[in-house]
Amino acid sequence: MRQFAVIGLGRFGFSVAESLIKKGAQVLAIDRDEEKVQAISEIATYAVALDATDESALKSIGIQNVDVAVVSIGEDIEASVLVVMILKEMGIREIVAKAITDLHGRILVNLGVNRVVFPEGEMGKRLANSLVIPTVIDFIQLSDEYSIVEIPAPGEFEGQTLKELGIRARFNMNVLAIRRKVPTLDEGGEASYAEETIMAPSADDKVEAGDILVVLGENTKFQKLSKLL
Amino acid sequence: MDSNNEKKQDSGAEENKPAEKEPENIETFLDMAKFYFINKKYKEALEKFEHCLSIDPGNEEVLLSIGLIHEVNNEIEKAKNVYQAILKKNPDNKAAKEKINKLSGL
Repeated sequence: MRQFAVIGLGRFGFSVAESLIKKGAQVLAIDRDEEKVQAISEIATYAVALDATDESALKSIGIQNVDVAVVSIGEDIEASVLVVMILKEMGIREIVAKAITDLHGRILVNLGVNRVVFPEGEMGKRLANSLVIPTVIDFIQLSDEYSIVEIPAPGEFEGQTLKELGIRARFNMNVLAIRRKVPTLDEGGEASYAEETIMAPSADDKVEAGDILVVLGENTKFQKLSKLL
Repeated sequence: MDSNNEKKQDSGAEENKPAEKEPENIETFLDMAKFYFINKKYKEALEKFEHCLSIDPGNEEVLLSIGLIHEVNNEIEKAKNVYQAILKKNPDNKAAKEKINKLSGL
């Protein structure tokens, strides 16, 4: 498993660090705010309060040994740029950085950041898409024409196989996965459910009540599918 | 696995018999509701849970189960409304709080 450093533990950075830790990754979490460091210290591999623009402080904790550094300092553009420069000079191969404006993003790209993310912009697009088609659970735009969408299976799909439904022929879409809820009862008899994902389902897989279909298709066609809901 | 499920589902009519004998026994209806739930008969499970509520209005375990059925049916707003109704009466209900947080993406 690759080793990560997350610099800046605001809402975005904390969420990135927490998700990486949940996936079993080793995470070095850094922020100048001791309270934020304290908040993540119980789950992070190593959490430290320091000023990330201090090159010697970064070196002293061995940041040069991580595989990927995520710089999630958005508000202070100067600090964000400085930290990226220091990390590049240290030879960190993969740097992902958060940007808050287009200009900030362009500077980061020119500094050699491998991936620039605009969390607010990206969330805004996803939110807008989910508002246009309210039944859509999640929406990842791949291009101007194509997206991957999570959509609850319409009631009329229940009990039918993907072959019988002919989703590709009817909607020009491919079902990439089915997210299914499996009802459970614990030892005390309390009802709950677990979630399982059927990746690349076969034509003979049946759609069940409560299934969520992960489909790849043209943006213009999702409206048609959602009308069945 | 499938044959077991078929057996369980075939016995659905049998499951109704104890309820006919004891129409006000909430435990009987709870068991039936859970039987339907585990067999993915969510509509029938919901009916039985709602009957439990008619016997014991405000029963939080039953309300949580009703919220759960809305969740598995992807009716997230309905599920949230049920959990919020629980919290309105009992702000200390930890399970309802956790459910609302989860469904709100917190």
